[in-house]
Amino acid sequence: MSTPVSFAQRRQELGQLLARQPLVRAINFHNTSSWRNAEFEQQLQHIAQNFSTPNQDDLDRYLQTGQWHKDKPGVILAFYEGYRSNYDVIVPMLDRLGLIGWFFVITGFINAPVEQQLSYANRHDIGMDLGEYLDGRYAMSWEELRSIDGRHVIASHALSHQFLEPMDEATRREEIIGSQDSFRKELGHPVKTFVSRGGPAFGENPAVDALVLEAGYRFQVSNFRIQRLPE
Amino acid sequence: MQRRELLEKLLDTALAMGLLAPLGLAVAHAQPVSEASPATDLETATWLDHQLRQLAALDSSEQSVPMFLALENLADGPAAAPAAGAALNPELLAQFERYADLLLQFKPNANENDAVSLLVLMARQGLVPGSMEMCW
Repeated sequence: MSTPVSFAQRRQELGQLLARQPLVRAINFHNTSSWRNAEFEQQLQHIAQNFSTPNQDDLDRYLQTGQWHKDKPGVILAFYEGYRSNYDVIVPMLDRLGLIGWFFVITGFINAPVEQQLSYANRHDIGMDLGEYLDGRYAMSWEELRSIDGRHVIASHALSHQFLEPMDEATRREEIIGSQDSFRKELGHPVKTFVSRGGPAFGENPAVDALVLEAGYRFQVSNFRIQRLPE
Repeated sequence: MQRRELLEKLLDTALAMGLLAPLGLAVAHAQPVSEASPATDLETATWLDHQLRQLAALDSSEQSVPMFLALENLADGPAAAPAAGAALNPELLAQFERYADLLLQFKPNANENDAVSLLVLMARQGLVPGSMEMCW
């Protein structure tokens, strides 16, 4: 929920990023329904042939050295919300093709009881392909997340997919730190990367920034940036 | 004739031929528009118009959307600093500025989302077979 800007202002901002910063492509996915299987397969095969898919350590290395150490340009495959279809449809393709996915998980969605996941999704603006899972489980389970942890990147998309700026402090704390607490409990370690709904960048809201640092995140992803955060 | 005048004349001709139309109105293309980046301003304007319509129709909850992300190091230690006085991605910057100029020719009331869409289109080009363009 960022302040609206004009075409000229956004053009200037993006032009400055193109001029001044190293770039990486990202491909943003949400629900990955099985009926699009062939489309995803074709897309990911092209990525596997022409790009490398970095993890957080690769980004760390690049940002510290300024040298890209892989023989192909990087592209970040980003999967948002924590859909079960990501695990069922995409993870097998990624593993077969040797690609790394970044899974930005809404922990409240994962933690919602199966019988409440659909209503949770509807209340939190999580788009859904109704009817895909007749058992009612639309979110990845923690067991599934544990099974891909390390091989792929698991990251926080906050607790409940709400805009952080208008929240009171206690709610915002729960969104940012409470989400990290779930990862600690279920994965056995904190995750390194955070992105909130609407993708504001680090530096745009000091109250949010302080909580992101307190939670121990090391990267923040936003609409136009990946930032390696101060320690 | 100045380049700008020439472009305006070309665009007027294109509008008269129905090749371009204000966004929100249907445009009929006699031939499928190539995914590859076109060359001339008229071709590019036609291509942009077509691509922006496709993008607007995309269901982002079900279909992938590419983007460029800028990498920033806010931590201590040596950063991947841009070269002083020179654009780090000159070809991409030039392409973005060209697209933005052309867009304003056929959509003078373009908004911030249109600027973002231009970047999405540019990121997409490198992901389509036959139009590879490297970063890093």
